[in-house]
Amino acid sequence: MGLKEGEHEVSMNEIDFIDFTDINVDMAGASEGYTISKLSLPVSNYDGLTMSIGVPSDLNENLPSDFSSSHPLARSSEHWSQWNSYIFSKLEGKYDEDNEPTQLEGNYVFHIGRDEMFRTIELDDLDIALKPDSGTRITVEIDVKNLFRLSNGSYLDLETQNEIHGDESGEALSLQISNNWLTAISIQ
Amino acid sequence: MTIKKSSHILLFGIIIISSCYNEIYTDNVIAINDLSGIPYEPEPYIVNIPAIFPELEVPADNPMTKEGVQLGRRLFYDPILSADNSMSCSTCHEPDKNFTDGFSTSFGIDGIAGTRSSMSLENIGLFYNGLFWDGRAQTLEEQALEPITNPVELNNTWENVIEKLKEDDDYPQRFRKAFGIESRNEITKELAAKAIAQFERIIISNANSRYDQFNRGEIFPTDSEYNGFDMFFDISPDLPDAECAHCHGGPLFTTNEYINNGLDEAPDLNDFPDLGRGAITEYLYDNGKFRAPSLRNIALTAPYMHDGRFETLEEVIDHYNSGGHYAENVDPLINNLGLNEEEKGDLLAFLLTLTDTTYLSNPDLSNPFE
Ligand code: HEC
Ligand code: HEC
Repeated sequence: MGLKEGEHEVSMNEIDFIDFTDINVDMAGASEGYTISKLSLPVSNYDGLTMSIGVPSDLNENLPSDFSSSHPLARSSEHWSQWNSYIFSKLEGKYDEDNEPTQLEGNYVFHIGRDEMFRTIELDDLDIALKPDSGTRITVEIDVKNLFRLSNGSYLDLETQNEIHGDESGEALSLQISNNWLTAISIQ
Repeated sequence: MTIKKSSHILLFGIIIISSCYNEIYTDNVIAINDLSGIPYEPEPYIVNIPAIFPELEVPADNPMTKEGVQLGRRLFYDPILSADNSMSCSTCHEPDKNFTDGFSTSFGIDGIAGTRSSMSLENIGLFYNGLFWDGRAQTLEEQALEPITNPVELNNTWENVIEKLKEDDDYPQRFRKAFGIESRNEITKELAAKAIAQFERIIISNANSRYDQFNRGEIFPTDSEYNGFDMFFDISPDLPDAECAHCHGGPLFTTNEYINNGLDEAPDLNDFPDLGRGAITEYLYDNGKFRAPSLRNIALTAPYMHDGRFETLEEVIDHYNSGGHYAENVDPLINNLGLNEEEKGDLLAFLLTLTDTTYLSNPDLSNPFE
């Protein structure tokens, strides 16, 4: 994540791990969201925000055991050795298979990773004024529905596509979801 | 307290020098209590960790020393910690069973069965996402305090244990050598727990199982082992994905996450017989979640799961193959896998390649009383 002032960019942090597992279970949790605090950024009037989804290729060469346990990249659950890559995003959940919404029996699991899935989102024309000794909150919205879009504008059919297979169809779906991140994120 | 303590030590004096005068006892009490004459020169203990494993992180206030490890080793194997001197940590964490006990759920000193299955301590120092099935302890130092007083474990009190350690012929000088205490009275439960934690941090395996050997290209796996490996890690599109590595991946064969792997049907999230992680976090969606254990040496630690419900690995594989039981928070990776008999056999063959007991020959891990 970084803040932009014209062409100039100030990095906010090399890497963060954002986990919505415990938050995104109901509306209240989803709107409360997840807060990341960054301290001591240079005071300025910024006009843009950049955010990447994934692990940049130089860091992606590492393994979880290369980091001390508190580092976001130390999580072995977020590394997939068969790809030699960190998992950049995990989209997992349940859907209703039999139109009886009391139980959601269908499962979907979309794990995205590998260097070619790394995406950077640039949000411009913003007005982020950091003042000395005071906090500023930037609210980033993720429209999860957009992550399930197909290139023709329709949505994924979870009954037929609910995981990413190690074949061509899986590759296409991975690329689609990676690209979807670019449209799913906005500033409130 | 103080009075009780010195009277014990007096008794000790009487046995040794029963014909002496009263004043001499008093001198003796001081001499026995005072440990400052014993040298305190702890030497660092170097733990050998396979290159593929994460780093061993040691708390700043409990550095690894040879003296600390040896003290911890004795405490770990010594029934002195239990109320009736019948059980030690090693009763439920036997090296021969890869530091488990072979029971579905463990029994305490009074023969009362607990509700949870003993956990292996292999590589325990490298797990950083909480300890116990439910993650209720954060550090080994904190964890080691619990079994002593747990009624279904050693069912003792720390006052009692400390009293016995102070009166012991051997322990006071060992505490001196490990932690520099100056008198027996400075033996505390925190120091005992630190020593046990130091010992536990040397329980590190060798990364030399058949799996490790073929992973390094030193040997060829059998076809069956290779197919099992393929399914475990979801490698080829030609075989079904068994999804195991998502939760049991990485060099330690665990991600240490808290997950519901579908053991119990729970139409309502309050219905689990054991709330597991949820009882600790008091968060509804954590009910029925338990920490995913390491699968290294899994063939040696039957029965399986937090309550030891499965006797064999075949039963475990059947559980996953069936897709488990419904609850809202069952992990989406738990699905009907569709493995046929041959594929189940292959997965089992792969799990058996994770066995490697060579690390147990480290003499520092053995029972010092044998
Ligand atoms: C009566 C059997 C019994 C005795 C005695 C016992 N344990 Fe355990 N141990 C267990 C059980 C059962 C668990 C899992 C308990 C739970 O999760 O609630 C466990 C869990 C642990 C864990 C956590 C492992 C992990 O992966 O999180 C450690 C560490 C441990 N014991 C160390 C010890 C030490 C040190 C002692 C002696 C001071 C000891 N145990 C005595 C049965 C026993
Ligand atoms: C979604 C995560 C997940 C997946 C996928 C998964 N497991 Fe597990 N596994 C767990 C959890 C969590 C436990 C502990 C559950 C409990 O005791 O309540 C566990 C327990 C086990 C145990 C018992 C370990 C012990 O010490 O008692 C074995 C063996 C095991 N799993 C093997 C496998 C195999 C083989 C696969 C693939 C077919 C697999 N697991 C897939 C999460 C998972």
